[in-house]
Amino acid sequence: MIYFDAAATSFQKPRAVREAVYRAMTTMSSPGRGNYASAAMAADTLFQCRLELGELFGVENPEQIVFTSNATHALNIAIHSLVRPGGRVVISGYEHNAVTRPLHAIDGLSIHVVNTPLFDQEAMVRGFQNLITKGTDAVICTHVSNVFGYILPIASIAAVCRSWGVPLIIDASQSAGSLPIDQRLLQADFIAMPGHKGLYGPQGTGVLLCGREGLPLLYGGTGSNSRDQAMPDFLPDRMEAGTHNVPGIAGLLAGVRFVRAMGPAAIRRHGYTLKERLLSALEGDAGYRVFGSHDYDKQAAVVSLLPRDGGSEELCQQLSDRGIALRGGYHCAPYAHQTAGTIETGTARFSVSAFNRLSEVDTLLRHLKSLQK
Amino acid sequence: MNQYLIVCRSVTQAQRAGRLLTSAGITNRVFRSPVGLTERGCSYSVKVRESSFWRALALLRQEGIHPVKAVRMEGGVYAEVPLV
Repeated sequence: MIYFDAAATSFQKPRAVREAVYRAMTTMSSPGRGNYASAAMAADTLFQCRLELGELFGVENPEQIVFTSNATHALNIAIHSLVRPGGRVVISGYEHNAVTRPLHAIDGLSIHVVNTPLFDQEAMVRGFQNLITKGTDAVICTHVSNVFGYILPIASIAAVCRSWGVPLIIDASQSAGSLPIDQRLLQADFIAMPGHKGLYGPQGTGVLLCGREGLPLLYGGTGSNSRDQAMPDFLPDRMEAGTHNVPGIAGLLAGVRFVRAMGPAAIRRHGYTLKERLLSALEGDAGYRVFGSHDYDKQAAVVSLLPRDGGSEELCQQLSDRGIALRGGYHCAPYAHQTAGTIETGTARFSVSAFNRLSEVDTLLRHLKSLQK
Repeated sequence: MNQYLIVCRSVTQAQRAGRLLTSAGITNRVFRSPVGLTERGCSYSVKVRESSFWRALALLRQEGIHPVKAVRMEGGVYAEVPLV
């Protein structure tokens, strides 16, 4: 199978990730629960993963790195911490349901959507400037659209938030591991990311970088303050109730090391090369509508396309029958489709990882062309 | 020889403290605190020698690590050390 669905999960993992998961399952128990060797090994692994994530994302204090089940879990914690019933939030209009569903579950919340055209970063910043007001509970913004690969100007948006004193939550699901993210520079209140996409960890891992204290979403044992029936008032324990996914985090640590060894910038360049091959080949093709920008700073290695006659799901099924994995439909992001004008059709999404090759893109292109005949 | 326990709020804070002290050349060991050292229940401590204790404490504070408390361990008896 040729796998072009890394925006959902990076399916091909470094061998070191599989080995780390196995090693953890055979040698580690629960961190923070005992002095014995297997608990200490688990605790050391978690701590090392926090340290290396901190080095990758500019978080100096490893206590401010919280492990979650996925980015959705991390986003729910962040939103729960900052957004109150009857409050007001501003979003870009390219957010995933992992952001918008938790928002819609909050009673009386006023959701303001910037809603500017694809790849127009200046309009996006102006939109935030126009919609943010004093008293806005939070801005919640995706860094990269999971549907279109559109890179939002997150540093400028963060600056606008700081100028208003409005908290910022960043969904880095599609950017962590390939685009620069530095918490020291962004000063975001929370940055949420999955472990299983651009960080090449196993499914079931996620991370929340905390620029501030927050509220727990889950309550339970933490291995600390055990006589107290309130959750600890310190990170990371406050947000990490229950037993950790130790094998997952061990795999995530191996994935983070893979990313650091290869370098996020090199991974991004590789993705750009593959994306450009697809984009350039399909732009002049009357059979497809393709959503892209050649600007290196405006589109990550995620491209949506749509057959002129036929649906996105049908196209993906035909490709699947030929051994090529793309995702069709809405990609859990109806807001993004509404903003981009594809809400009636959805799109077929092409997304790559460090393991994809140009020859695989060429194979995809051959099949796309043959399907038009 | 007397030992000092620097009691931390969590395993993560204790690990952070332990790594910092190790990098400064201070021998230490991170382990679960004996029951009863804090009123709030389970915690982790960093054990250091008496000769290193005040330097260790100063280093930790310099890095923003503020222990819950510190105790001196002498002949199996713990005595709290005022952290002022």
